[in-house]
Amino acid sequence: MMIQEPDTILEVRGLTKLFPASRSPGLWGGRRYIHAVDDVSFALRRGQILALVGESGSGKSTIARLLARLYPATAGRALFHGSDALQLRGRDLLRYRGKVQMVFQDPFGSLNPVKTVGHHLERPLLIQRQAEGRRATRQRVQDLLATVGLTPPAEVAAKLPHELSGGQRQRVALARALAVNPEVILADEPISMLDVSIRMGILNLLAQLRDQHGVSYLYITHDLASARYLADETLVLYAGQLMESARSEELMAEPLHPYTRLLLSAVPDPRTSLEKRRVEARGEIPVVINPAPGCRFAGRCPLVMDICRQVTPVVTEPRPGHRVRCHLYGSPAA
Amino acid sequence: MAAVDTRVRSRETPDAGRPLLSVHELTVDYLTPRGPARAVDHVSFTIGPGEILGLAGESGCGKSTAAHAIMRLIKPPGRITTGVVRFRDRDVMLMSERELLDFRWRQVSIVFQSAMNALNPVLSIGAQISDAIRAHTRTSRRQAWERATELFELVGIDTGRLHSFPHQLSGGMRQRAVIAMALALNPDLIILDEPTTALDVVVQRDILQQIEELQARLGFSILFITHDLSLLVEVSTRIAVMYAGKIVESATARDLFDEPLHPYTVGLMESFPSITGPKERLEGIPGAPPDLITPPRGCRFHPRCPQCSLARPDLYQLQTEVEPVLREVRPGHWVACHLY
Repeated sequence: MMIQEPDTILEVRGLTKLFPASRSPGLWGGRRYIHAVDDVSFALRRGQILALVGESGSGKSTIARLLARLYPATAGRALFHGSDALQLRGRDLLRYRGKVQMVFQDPFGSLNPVKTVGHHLERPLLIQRQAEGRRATRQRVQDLLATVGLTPPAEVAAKLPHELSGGQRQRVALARALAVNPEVILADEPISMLDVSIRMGILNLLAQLRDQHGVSYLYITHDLASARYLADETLVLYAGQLMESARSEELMAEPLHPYTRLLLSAVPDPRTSLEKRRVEARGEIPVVINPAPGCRFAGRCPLVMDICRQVTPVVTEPRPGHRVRCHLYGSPAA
Repeated sequence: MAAVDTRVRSRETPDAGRPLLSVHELTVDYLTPRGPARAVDHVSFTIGPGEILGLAGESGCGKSTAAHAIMRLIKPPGRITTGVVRFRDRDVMLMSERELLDFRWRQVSIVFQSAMNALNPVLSIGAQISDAIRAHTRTSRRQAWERATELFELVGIDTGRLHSFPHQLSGGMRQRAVIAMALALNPDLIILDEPTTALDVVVQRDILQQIEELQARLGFSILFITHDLSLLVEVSTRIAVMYAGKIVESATARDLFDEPLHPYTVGLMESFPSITGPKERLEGIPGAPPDLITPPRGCRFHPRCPQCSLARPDLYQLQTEVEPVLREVRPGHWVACHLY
């Protein structure tokens, strides 16, 4: 059971999303479902940066989209200031959207190519009814651009997306998310499509905005190193399930779950790499359809035991603040 | 053993010590309405037998264009303005169509960026590999298919999957299939252009290990192109760093890692946070790569260079007016920078 920390602003419990797959063959073939997200729980505190780490197929982007209400969840709750965000409608949903904003991976795809930067930043203000007249709005736009390091603001506001570099566009996307003073920003792989040398600038900006404005982040990434750099706490996802979660430093220094260890050993790290390092890395994340009981990592786990193939492990907390879903850590029978 | 001619030509050139591939002053321009954009600017490097040369740089630095030029794949509006590319002492630019057919795939093959996404969706993988084999050799369909089977075993894919279509394979498998295709005729040099960029980190590690094992076993050379410098430090013998069409630094992997000289290389190294060791703040590099039609005067990197400032006026004058030349400032370590 998770203890609700003070200052928790978003508490996710049992989040689950199933997508229909084709029917099983045969006249009476039952419905088949892809288990994209399965029973994921975590809590995000005010001013905290929580990283969701996983490879493609892990469900991390789906979680962000569920929390952004881009599609409906199959089960689970997301408590935001006491109400379940997944059930909100109408005016309440609009208010929620003003508080929980999203930044996407593709800096070009998320901006309207025929509208100026200024337009992009004004729109959320209009939608959320936070605009207060032309001059005040224009000033707010320029303030936002200055906050994200795009200067001179008046010039940038008049530009079209294609006139900006990838890093600049991503700053515009951030400014847009900030425009309505959100409490949470869901950042879905915000730097993976940017050139390497500008990624750190964006990560530093995210941290700075947290320090100055108290924004919390759900930082979704496949890159453990950037999770360690930016996030206070890291969750590792595999095939839709939470496998491990802990403070970032602790997770990287003392990973408990065999999948986390596999991920860590696979990261190129020249500081430790100039001596050769073999890793048994065969296999990829399965697409999980109508799963049988058992651990989803069993097929690739170097420490697999009989019970792993028969009983789905539940999440336990073998150390304070460090959760893991693995039979190695005394997981009771499900 | 399939009857495809895959005899390994001697991995040693007749003159041991002469490089397999030699690129000299290669220059490639793209003609645009605003004027020519110089994508590759007098680039020179060599690759020896069994050597792995890493070519590092970000988007727009010219590394992919250089690779295409080596294979003579540059089409208008691109044009190879000057430069000499020699493979086993034969001038690639002077090769006839017939000679090119023999050169491509049999001597040098290439895995393009996102090749795994460019596979023909309506042909089985086996058919595509056979196609590649039969395009460059006189081989029967059956023999080509046998060779494809061998290749799948070589790269670790279940041979039953030869009949699969690309969409039925995972990303990692498709990339292995594309690598298998590149190996089909046992080339002496394989060019890999961002071979693992689109893959997850675990699959990437797997593919890299595979490539290293194959390289150790078969002895081919590799030109490994990527923006991921940390990867190159792991796999390369030597690394050349490119910026705005020029090579700015070149050294052994170890030397580059231990002592990066060019401020751009230093900046690149500072763009990779680590999972171990002390946590330190990293800055990356401010600014953006330059316009290749009107690049900055003097050193192309100077607008972004932390070592370029009016605090040192003599140096500043050099940096803003004179293009630095690639010079060997330590044994085997070359850099193009006014600081040295």
